[in-house]
Parts: sequence; C-alpha cells; structure tokens
Amino acid sequence: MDGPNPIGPNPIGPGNDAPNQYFLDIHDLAVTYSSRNSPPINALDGVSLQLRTGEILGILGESGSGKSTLAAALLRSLPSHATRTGGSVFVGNRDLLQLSARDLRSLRGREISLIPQDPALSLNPVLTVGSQIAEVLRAHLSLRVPQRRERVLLSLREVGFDRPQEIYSAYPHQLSGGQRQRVAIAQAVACRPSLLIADEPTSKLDATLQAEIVELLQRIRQLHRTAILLITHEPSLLAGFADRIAVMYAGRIVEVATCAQIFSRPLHPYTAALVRIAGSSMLQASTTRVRLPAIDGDPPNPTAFPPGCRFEPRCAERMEICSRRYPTSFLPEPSRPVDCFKYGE
Amino acid sequence: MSYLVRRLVRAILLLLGVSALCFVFTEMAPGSFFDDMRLNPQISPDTIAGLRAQYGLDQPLAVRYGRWMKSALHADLGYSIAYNAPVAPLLLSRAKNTLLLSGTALLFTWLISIPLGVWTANRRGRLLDKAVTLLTSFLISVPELVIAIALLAVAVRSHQLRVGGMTSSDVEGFSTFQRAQDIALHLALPVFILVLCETAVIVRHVRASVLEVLNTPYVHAARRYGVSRSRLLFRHVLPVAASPAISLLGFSLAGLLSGSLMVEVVCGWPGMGPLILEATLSRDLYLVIGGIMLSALFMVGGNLVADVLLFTVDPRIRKAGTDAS
Amino acid sequence: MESNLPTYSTPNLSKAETSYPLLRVINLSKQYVRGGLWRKRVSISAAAAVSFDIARGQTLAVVGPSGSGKSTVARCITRLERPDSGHIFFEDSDIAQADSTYLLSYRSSIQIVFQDPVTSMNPRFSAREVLEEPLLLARSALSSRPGRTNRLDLIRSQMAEVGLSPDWTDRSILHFSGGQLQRLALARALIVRPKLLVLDEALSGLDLSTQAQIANLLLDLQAAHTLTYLLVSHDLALVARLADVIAVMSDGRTVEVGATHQITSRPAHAVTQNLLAAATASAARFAALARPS
Repeated sequence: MDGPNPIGPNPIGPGNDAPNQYFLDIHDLAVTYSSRNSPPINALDGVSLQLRTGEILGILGESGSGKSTLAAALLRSLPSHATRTGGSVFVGNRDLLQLSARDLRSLRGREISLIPQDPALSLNPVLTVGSQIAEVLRAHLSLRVPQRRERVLLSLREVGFDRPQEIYSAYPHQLSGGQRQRVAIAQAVACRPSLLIADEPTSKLDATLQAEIVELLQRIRQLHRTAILLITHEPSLLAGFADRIAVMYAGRIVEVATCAQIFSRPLHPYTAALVRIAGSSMLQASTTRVRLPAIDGDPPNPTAFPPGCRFEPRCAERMEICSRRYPTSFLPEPSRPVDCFKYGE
Repeated sequence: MSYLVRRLVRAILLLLGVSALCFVFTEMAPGSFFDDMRLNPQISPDTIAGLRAQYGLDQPLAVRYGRWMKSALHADLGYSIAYNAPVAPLLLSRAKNTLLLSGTALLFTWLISIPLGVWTANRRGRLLDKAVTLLTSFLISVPELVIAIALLAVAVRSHQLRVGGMTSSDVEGFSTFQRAQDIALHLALPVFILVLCETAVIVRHVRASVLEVLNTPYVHAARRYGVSRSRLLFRHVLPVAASPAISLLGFSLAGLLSGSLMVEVVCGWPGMGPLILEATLSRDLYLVIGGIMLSALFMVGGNLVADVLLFTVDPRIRKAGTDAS
Repeated sequence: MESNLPTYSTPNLSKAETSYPLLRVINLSKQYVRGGLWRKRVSISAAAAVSFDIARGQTLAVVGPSGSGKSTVARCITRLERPDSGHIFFEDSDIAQADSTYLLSYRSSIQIVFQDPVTSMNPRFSAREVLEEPLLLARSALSSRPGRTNRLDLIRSQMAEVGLSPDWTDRSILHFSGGQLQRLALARALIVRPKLLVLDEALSGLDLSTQAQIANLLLDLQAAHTLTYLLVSHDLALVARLADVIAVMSDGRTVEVGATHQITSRPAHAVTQNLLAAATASAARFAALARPS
C-alpha cells in the first residue's frame, strides 16, 4: 500500500511533533475578491494558523467570516475574481502558494483533500460511485485496475459500508444523503492525505447523521493520523471532537484555544456570545418560549471594514479604544492568542 | 426495455396522426390539380369529371384516407398526377439524392462542431473562443438564403466547382469513378453552404453545454482531487455534456429530409425539396402526402434514435424510464 | 443568567378563544403518484392520517427525519398542494378541498416562510416590490384598498418591525445577506396580517447567531400580534425552545403528539426517542466541556 503513513495504527492526537514543528503553517494569508460594480471585498485579511500532524483544528465562523475562502485558498481553488494579496502557506518546507501547476495537481487529492459541503452536488451523476473514487486513485497512484478496485473497496469499507461491492456499482442518485457524504469522504481519503479539510460537512444532513459523520472523521484521524481542518458555524459540532479551535470573524482570526478552553472559558466576547447561544440552543427542560441570548446587529460590510475592532459595534463590553485601533493578538495565556483590548493595550 | 417499446408506440401513433392531418389540410387548401384545365374552354367538364374519378378525387375524405392507408401498408403511396407515375419510386429516388447531400453535411457538421465546441469551451474568453463566437454570430444572423446565393455567385465566378444540378450534362460517357468525382464536385457547394449554417448553431450549443458542465460542483470537486485537465474533459465532462448533444443530434437526424430544401432549390440539386415544392404548388395530392409522410418518418425516426442513445448513455434517464415499471 | 430573559406564555385571550383551536387537521393524507397512461401507477404516501390541533396564539412544531412528510403537511395546510383526503378546519371552515375562488379569502390568513430565502424571492425585485406584491394581490380579498402612499408606509413599517432599515426599500434582493432575506420573507408573510404562519424549516439554513436573532424575532412578533405558528423542523432542540406542542412524524404518519415538556421528558415512540437521543448526546457533550475547569 502506498502512502506516507506508517504501517499499522498509530498513537493519535497532537503533541507528537516538537512544539515548533508544524505540519501546516499559514502566515498572514490575505485574499481579496474584486468586483466590477462595487469596491473589493477583503474576504481574508491576514490569517495565521499552525496545525500539527494528526491534529483536529476547528475553524468556527459564520457566513462572511472568510472560512470558506480559507478552505479554497488552501487548495488554491479560488474563483476567478479572487486576487491573492499576500501571505504564505507552508506544508513541510514548500509554500503552497508558490507551487507550479504541475506540483499543485500532484498535491491536491494526495496530500490535501477537501470534503465538500453538499454531497448531493459534488458527485458526478453519470458515473458510478466506485469509478469516481477510482478516478482519485488514478490521478495520483499508478496501480493496475484490479488493485485499484481493491483499494476503492477498502476505502468504502473504511467509511462504514458493509457491502462495498454494491455501493461500488451504484450511481449517486441511488444513494441516500448520508451515504453520499460517506462516499465523498471515501473519495477524499482514498490517497491517504495528510490534511483533510471538511467544509461544513454536516450542514445539509439531518441532526442524527451529524454524530455518525463526526465519528467517522475521528476514526479516520485515528487510522491514518490525518490532520483535519473542520470548518463550521456550529460550536456543538466541535465539542468533544476538535483538539483546538480557531474563531474567525470578518476575515480575521480573533481567538485560538483548546476545545475545552473555548467552551468553558472563552476570552473573546464574540466567542463567548456564540458559546452562550449554542448552550441555550441545546435541549434543556422547561425553557419553552424563552428568548435566546442573541447578538444584536449584523456582521460588518466586507467592502468597508472599520479601522478598529470589527466586532466592536455589536460588543457588549466595548471600550473607547476598541473603535480606534485594531486589537492585534494579545497573549493572556500561553498559546492562547486573542484579538481583544480586554487583554492588553 | 419497456421504455423503448413505449417510445416506439408513441412514434407510430404520431405518424398516424400526421397522416390524418395531412389529408385534412390538403382537403382544406383551396384548389385542385385540375383547376387549370377547368379554365380551358376546350376541355369539357365531363372529361375533367372523368379524370377526377380516375384519380379518386371525387370520393369523400374518409374513403380516400382509408384507401390510402390500406395501400400505404403495402408500400404503395398512390399515383402522381403531374408525373403520371407511382409516387413511391419517385419519392425514393429523389430522397436518395437528398440523403446524400444532407447526410454528408451532417457528418461534416458534427465532425467539426464537437471538437470546436469543446475546444472553445475549454479555452473560454481567449482569442480562439472570441473569434469563433464572432463568426458564428455572423453566420446565424445572416439569412441562409443570402449565404447560399452569395456562395453560389462566388462559385460560379471561380470556375472551380461544378455548379447546378447533380451531374454534368455529358455524364453518359463517364466511368464509375469519373461519375463519382463529378457528383462530388457538384456536391461540394451545397454541402459547404449547409455545413456553414448548421455548424454555427451546433457549435454554440455544444460549447454552452460543455461550459455548463465545467462549472458544476462535481467537476470542481474532481479538479480539486487532482484529476488532469484532459482526463477531466473526457471522462468527467463529456459523458454529462453528451446528453444535450444527443438531443440535438436527434433534431439533426430528424431534419435530414426536410432541412435542405432551400439549398436544393438554389443549387438545383435534384432532391426531395424541389419535388415537394412543385407538387404543393400544383396540388399534386398524393405526391404531397407521400412526401410529407416520408419526412415525418425521418423526423420520428431521428427522435427515436436520440431516445435510444440517451437511454444507453445517461443512467439518470435509465432510472426515470424504468421507475415503477 | 437565563432568568433575566423575558418569557412568553400563552397571551391574554379569553378562555373561549384559548380553548378553541384555530387549526384542526384531521386525517390528512396526500399521495404522490408516479406513472400514467403507459406505466404502472405507483403511489408514494407522503402523508397518511395526520391529525393535530393548534390553538390560537400557540406554536405547534412538526419534527421528524427527512422524508417523514413534514413539508408535505405544511404545503397541504397552506393549500400549495391539495390533499387527497382528510379535513383542514381553519376557524370552522374546511379548506382541504376548497376551490381557488373560495381560498382567495384565506390566503391572507395563512402564510408561509420557506427554508431558503434566496430561492423564494425573485432576484430582480427590490425589497419594496417583494413586500408590495402581497398587498396588491390581497386587494381583491380585503375590503379596504390601500393607495400607493399608504402601501409604501405599510412596507416601511413592516420592514422596521422585522429589524430591517426602512431606508432599504429600493435595495435589490441581491444585496441582502441570508439572514436579512429571511427577515424580509417574514415581513412579506406578515404584511397581510395572517393569523397562522407556517415556517417550513425557516431557521434551518441560517448561521447560529442569525438563527437566534430570528427566533427571538418570531417570539416577539407572536406576542405582539397573537400569531399562531406551525413550525416544521428537524432540529428537536430548537423546536423545544419555541414550541408548546410537538408532533413527531415518521414515514408520513404522526407517531406522537404532545406538550413539549412531555415529549422531551417521556418520549413514547422509538422515532421520538431517537431524535431525543441525538439531541441529548449533543447537549451532554457540550455541557461536559462548558463546565469551568
């Protein structure tokens, strides 16, 4: 079996690398969308992140925060009206953003894979499911046809199908929503990538299927020591699953902390508000017809960001300084950067 | 399987309907073949009545229809009054000429349109795409008749091609090869006109459907998995884009007998077009009906071929066709 | 922290009004038939023998997995589809089989908001045009005929009520965000002053904070106008927060109907138990982390 992974199951979780040895190092990534009729949109405005091998990092953000742009930028599949204005993305010692088209193609699907948001739309309707998974293998590994078929069946079994042969020759429209998402995951992990990006993998599925998909991703991380970047707007999806969480707002990362820290003691007011809403949206007894603790107002206009903190207009704890300058990263605790003037000057 | 049987039954019903409508409409059209004769004072009304009876034109509509149906099932399509000959052989010989012309044009049209459509879609916005779009816009906006006559004028002046009819006047002394060559030279101009006009339309449709598929989420996903551009085109895009193209092919096939009428008239090609035109103008009843039925047969057949191809190629249609049956 | 937030109980209606149901659905059934002249007819039962009542000012939620028939029920009640059998009593009149002229007067009383605001509005319209349309259509049903300036005033005040700036009346639909569009969809439904509002997964496609804002808006509007809600959703936790009564559907049938408190503490049917288990597990995982370390 090819692939960068060692033989057999491995000790899971982060911390197996030396502290400064990051598998993925994003530094000051910025992406702008230009438009004919309106001023340019700063979708990503200086994002920096590090990821260790086998780590699960959750990106928590709502629409307009830039999370989907981040995923697209990592795969270099931004739409044509996007102009990248700066930054670097190092995988090992190669900068993804400087790679040639040929090197890039060998990287996509092999080292870095994306699990798309809507499985119903991301499978080709006239090809069988098995042949679509085989396509990914064919693009990167030179295997003979029977070997390839075996690999595909193995992938299907890994994502939980009991009878992979039947699924192999099925067409996407013959499968249910949950099955299609599992097939999409099988496609993504077919070549054992080191980084898996899951962009809202459960938003189109029922709540009952969410747990299944999350468990599946955990199993994959355990089996192959795959690092996972899970992008979502639902904090509850990350609870008990992500190792660390980075919170995005208006094109920037405003807080990074471990999962436990984010939920028990969030530092940034936006994170705190989100966690509060998520908590109130959970099933609790005798709270019928009670208002939820919502955040007032709307996210800022991406064509014209204010000079100061971007959350300031909606923040319950805002101070005078918050509208004047942007609160660039303070470190109130080790490895816990926060963009908020509550923790520094 | 039953999907195809259903389609076949529908086709037969359609043909029956067309034949009935033919009879009704020709009946409703004013005038008959013998009107000129009636104006002639030297021919007595009795002679005309006798002629009419001879051709069965004095019978009521339903009887005529019934008789025609019965003989049509024996491949006897009636008698042409103008040519004084049975309709079927007359039609068939002309139809062969038309098929030679339109069949050749169809082949070249599709051989050019598919690669050109895929190429321009793949290189959208670049120089080649813009040039092709400009050219096709021009060809579509100028009426086919104008293009045909313009090219005819050019051909005549250049003295390169043989123009007018299907064969030269001294064709008797030619060997088979020379005869074939002669026909080919006569064929060149009308085929060129047809190909020019049809390709313009088909290229745009192929380009549009390939572009549409290139922008689907599943093609984007395949690209993100590192599938090479060429593999993407042939294995992922074309099978999906083939379906609308097959429908178009069905239309092309359907128009094999009827689409080249204008070109045949302009270039003097002895095909079905001029024959039917003439027959309609002179109210040569059974020739008209026979011609229409033959065209209808092709039309229905063309669509049927497209349906079969779609069924084979597209699993979504297989599913829709076999659901609940 | 929770005790500071206002609670809305059933509004001040007379005893007669609270006890009398605004909507009574009895044995509602709807089948979709595939095939026709040529194919064997196969009918898929989307909804079968569905029954429940909603009292005035209450919220009833219909929950269930996808394909359970919830949307079919919503569409039948708003008569976007005609049910095959059963009764839908709206204020004593059975609208299940009524023809379109009869229904004209009911269109203003029952309104619906859909899941995807982007596809439920014409992208070429401005906000004003979107809100004006129901006013123009309802003219035939209403006795009063609001003139043009009156309509604009109505539109502006309705937009303000749902939290949109009244200055945005001429803004194109394309320039609104998802959450803002859903507010506009609510405004469109409310502008004709309906008594019953059907929300077909209206909160499902939204971000968490937008969902919270819209949920609060719904509660406020309900209190202000004594609205009755029929909420269709697959999210049991959200529904437990907003609804008084829950009807659980599975495979086209209502398997359990009861007060929220009862359904969430003592679920009787397996489907309910499954839904509850998923929601409870989620809540437990969350609670475990949220405890300060």
